[in-house]
Amino acid sequence: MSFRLGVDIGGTFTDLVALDETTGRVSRTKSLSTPRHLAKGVLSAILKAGIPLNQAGMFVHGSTIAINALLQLDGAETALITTRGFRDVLEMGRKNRPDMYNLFFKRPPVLVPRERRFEVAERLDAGGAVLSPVDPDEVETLVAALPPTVTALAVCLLHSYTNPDHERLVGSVVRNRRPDLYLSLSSDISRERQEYERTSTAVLNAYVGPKVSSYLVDLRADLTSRGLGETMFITQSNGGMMTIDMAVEQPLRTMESGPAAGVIGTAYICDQLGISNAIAFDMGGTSAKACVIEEGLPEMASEFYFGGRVTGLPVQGSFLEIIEVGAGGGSIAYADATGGLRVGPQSAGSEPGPICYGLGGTEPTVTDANLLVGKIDGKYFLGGEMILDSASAERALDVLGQEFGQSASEVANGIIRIANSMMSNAIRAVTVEKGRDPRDFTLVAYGGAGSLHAVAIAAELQIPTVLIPAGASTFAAFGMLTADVSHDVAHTMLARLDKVDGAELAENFATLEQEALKFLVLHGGVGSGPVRYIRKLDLRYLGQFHPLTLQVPADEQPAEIAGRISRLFHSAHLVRFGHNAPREPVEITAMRVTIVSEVPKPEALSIESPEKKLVGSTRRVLFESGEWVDCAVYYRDQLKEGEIVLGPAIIQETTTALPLRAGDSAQVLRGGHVKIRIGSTGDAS
Amino acid sequence: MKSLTHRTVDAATVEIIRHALVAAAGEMMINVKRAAYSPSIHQIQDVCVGLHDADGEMLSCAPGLPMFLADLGECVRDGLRLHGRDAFKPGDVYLSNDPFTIGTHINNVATYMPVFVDGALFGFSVVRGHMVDMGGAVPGSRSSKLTEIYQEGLRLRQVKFYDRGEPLDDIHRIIADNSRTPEAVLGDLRAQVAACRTGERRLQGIISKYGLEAVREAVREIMRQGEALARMAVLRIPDGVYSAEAFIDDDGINLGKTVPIRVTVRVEVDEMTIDFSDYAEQVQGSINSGPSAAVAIARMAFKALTTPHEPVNEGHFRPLHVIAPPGKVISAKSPAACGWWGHTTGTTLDAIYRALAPAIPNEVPAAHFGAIPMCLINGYDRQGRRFVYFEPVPGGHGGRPNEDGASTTVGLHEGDTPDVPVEVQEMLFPILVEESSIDPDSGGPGLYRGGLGYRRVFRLLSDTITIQLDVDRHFCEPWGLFGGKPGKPNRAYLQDREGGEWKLVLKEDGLRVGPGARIMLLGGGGGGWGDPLERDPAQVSRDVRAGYISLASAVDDYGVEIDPQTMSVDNRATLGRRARL
Repeated sequence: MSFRLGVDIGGTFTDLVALDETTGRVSRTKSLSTPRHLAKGVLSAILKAGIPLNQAGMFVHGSTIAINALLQLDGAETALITTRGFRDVLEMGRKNRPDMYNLFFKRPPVLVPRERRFEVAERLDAGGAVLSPVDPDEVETLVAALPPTVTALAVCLLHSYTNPDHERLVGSVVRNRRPDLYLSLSSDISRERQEYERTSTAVLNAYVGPKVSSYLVDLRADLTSRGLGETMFITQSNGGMMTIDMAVEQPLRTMESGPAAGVIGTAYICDQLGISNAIAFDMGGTSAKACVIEEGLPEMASEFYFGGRVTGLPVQGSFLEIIEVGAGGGSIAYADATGGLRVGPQSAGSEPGPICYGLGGTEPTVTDANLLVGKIDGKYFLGGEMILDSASAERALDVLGQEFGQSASEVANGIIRIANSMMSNAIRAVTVEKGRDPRDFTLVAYGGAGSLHAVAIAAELQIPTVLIPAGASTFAAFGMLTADVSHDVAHTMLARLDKVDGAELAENFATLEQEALKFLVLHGGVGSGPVRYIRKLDLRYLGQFHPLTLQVPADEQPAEIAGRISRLFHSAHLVRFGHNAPREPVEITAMRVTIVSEVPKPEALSIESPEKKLVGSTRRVLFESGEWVDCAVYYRDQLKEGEIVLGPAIIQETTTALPLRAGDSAQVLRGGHVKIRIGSTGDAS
Repeated sequence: MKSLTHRTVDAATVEIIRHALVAAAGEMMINVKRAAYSPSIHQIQDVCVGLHDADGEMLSCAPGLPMFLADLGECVRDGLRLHGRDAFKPGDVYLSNDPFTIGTHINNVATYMPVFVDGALFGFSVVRGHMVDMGGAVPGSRSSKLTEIYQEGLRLRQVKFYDRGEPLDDIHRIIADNSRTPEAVLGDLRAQVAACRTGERRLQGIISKYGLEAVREAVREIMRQGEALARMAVLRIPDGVYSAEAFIDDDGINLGKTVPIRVTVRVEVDEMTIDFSDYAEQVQGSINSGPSAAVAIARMAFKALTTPHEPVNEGHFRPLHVIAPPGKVISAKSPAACGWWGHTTGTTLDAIYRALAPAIPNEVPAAHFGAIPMCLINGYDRQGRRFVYFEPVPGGHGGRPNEDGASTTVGLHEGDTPDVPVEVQEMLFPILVEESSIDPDSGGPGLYRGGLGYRRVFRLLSDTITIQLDVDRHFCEPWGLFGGKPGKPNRAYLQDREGGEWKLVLKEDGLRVGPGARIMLLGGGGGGWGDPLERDPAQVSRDVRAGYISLASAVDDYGVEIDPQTMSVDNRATLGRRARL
């Protein structure tokens, strides 16, 4: 047992990263995805990597199966049981109209049509007391009448976050009558109030449940029969991973796990290098994503929607706060009808792709602009496997430039500056706008286009250091190998902090921790590594609506805890909003516990491949400042640990490049990562 | 359209500054919403932020509600007129809520501060939010029974709130002493001032990065682009003079006396004039508002027709002219009562789209439910604190030229306004909600059906509560277009005791209802678009199966005969029925 495998299924490629536990050596394989038969893609990636499954001690998987079922509205035929009077909650949503000037605004999709939404005559009050009980016969009759084509059922009853008894009773009747149904009780997944969001959560879980669980169970059986020894994990959206048994029960937590894996990898590398604050920045073909890591912990979202807030579906639970901006390598640049230069949100994607790929793209993209200014080497793309069509890219950019009285390279530089500014604004939104100083952070850039823009964005935001991890294009699969098993539980409450008994609070936290541990033990999530807990509280000033979630210490004396938390809150409010009110009472709205079951991790090393030695050369690059500069060209895989590269220079990788301006300096670290010290700031756009 | 090539600021820099201004307003909005105390701001989004130049022109704006497109600039201009440019010092913050200069009602309090660059005034950062209670005769500061602005609370026109960064105690005390909810009001104003400062910092940051002249030039170009986009959109509308009429049921005082809304839209090449000359004269009740309301409503209608997907700047409105002679309901003079000014907006928008329907039949929907069936609940919450609560009741939107109208969604004059979840309401307030659902058969029949309305039944669990009901668009039904039928109108009913009779209540204040009583609020449905007899029978049958419409409606309104057992359409019987209808 000496290998750990991370397999990330993406739209085009399935990436496999293998870590040899004895040598620490990392190898990477890319193979084509097989959307019709995902498991086949996994197997062929393993075959291509040439790693015998019986030598794999751990297999971590990230899959798009759940999110695809949702995006293609191809989930289970699902039914829903609600409290009498509330069957339309799912369809009505919060009744808002975010796209407010559009007379033809769209509403989010409704996953369970009205004729499959059923009411039962039961009611709890806001304190969880029974106003009218569940009648099991009513539930029995209702379930008996369900068409056999229904394969999943969600139950969400009003106020079940505070008392799950009614949902459990309904659930037991359902299980008795129709054991074949995939069943989701809202209170099993979320103990937070807000009936639309909780109903949506339970429905989403049921909707993707049959598909995800049968896929995972089959894959596990298949891989074990081929010799996979021990544990198989799947990454989840909170930045941890879970066992297959956990995922079968809560499949919705596997959604968005690809982007999460990159953040996990970032946190891991930062931990190894002693960096406590970082911004994980992933720029690919269609968009760029960013997530803040503070004191080693990725930021969690206060609310989350699959498919975006405007027409997406909300879900309760722990999701990384990953913001996305429609600027990627494939984003199209154009002159709009009023004479403005615009970039995106339309993207040429990978098909037809940028003009320079020669696959039929006709509109200039950010990648074409990067080629024209010399940041990408058209002759060394994919290590020389693909020759980029610079002439066509230049012609298109020349036409665009004429609209503005500019040359092709001038307008190309403008496109890059606009893309930089869009990404800088997005990163500003998760740092400056939340009271964080970017100067305290390291920008960790990966994905196909991350390194091309990272230095300029860092300079714009006055971020002093950039880190380009080794193997940036298969980074998500690497991140999977660095995750721990984790699970989140939360409990809605409402109490004034100054009236809270510290001992009782500690007791409640301990109860939540027990609940989380029980879940993990039951589903095989506790291994040989240590188990730890993270405690959090949602806090606000009495009378406010939106709470702030703060991590609270577990080691405090009960008598001191309220005062300590209150001080933490006042200062966090000041940082976040620029003002506070230390004399106003503070209120707790929820308790949260994350259990982390640590998985021991060997050190990962990227060993440089000393194959063909390329002769160093120079190439002219147009930087954002508007100057053409001769840059020395270095090849990433020929740089040794400790080596320093001074800008102006280009560090060439197989599919991308890292441009350094005069004044910037890069150093290769242990593990193959490249660290850049930014010379001058503020002139990126 | 080719842009000028002799500019000193290149196209990319213009675009970057445009993004930066939009991001700055967005950041102000997030800040004020997340730190605010009142649901009117953090939930109902009754708040608006903007960055303006030194003359009050809007550089960038993030409206919480879509009609907030005019009053911030008016607020700045009024301050400049009253105090003069030299009165403003760095760190000063001013307050204003005077409806007759800045529009809307007393509850809407604007805070704004000057933004200085190198010692010179560059512009203003403005935030305007709805305060829960500004004093006056009734909790919440507004009632359909009030007739003068003096009854509607504390009127503050251009009052200094902070002096060079320091809060002024006197005005803070005056506000605290005059509001029923001083903690909430001062908490909200604190959040507003913090957001103003964010705007100040961001604007200064943009200027220090790109230079004052570059920013000025970029702003001119951004406005030009915005204007060009709007002009191109107006060009698509055939020239002509288009009129329509609707009405407000009454002013709340003179019950049964309708208040006519007449609008005329003139389109000439690439310019549009929205003319309110024939709108009703200001009324005794509280549905009036100052003149900037007329501009705001016209701008909202115009924006939805021309640049619905663009972040807002002043350039978008240059091709629009608004005529609103003083003394109309939407351009009222002091001392008109203005508390329920919002009543007129949805219906006026509907009327403007109705006027334009013959000109651009494929670009406007039929009428929507048009006004919130308002139910204000005031009393003491579970923690013994006074509260005033109301919910933005949704309804159906009009059928569209290509699809059914949206069901149970907030009105056109509201936007990203989520409701308060029942689980939150019941935790905070002594209330028990028995039903919150789609109201079947409420959408106007049509080739494309109007969206369905909303139905909510609840009880109050305390006897210290008084409620104010204010339901408009009950008599003025949500009309259909091109043969579509009207949707069901807004309604409210009261049931005194268990099993008692449901009584229609439209406009009443100070109602006391006991714990045994029930209230039912019904947000109306949207009007239908096109002839319902042309609707696909299969779609009618799907509507019946889902319970959106009844079997009776399928027959009577759509002429579709459906077998109640199998739910399949009887095609022959349908042909016959449709021939007879």
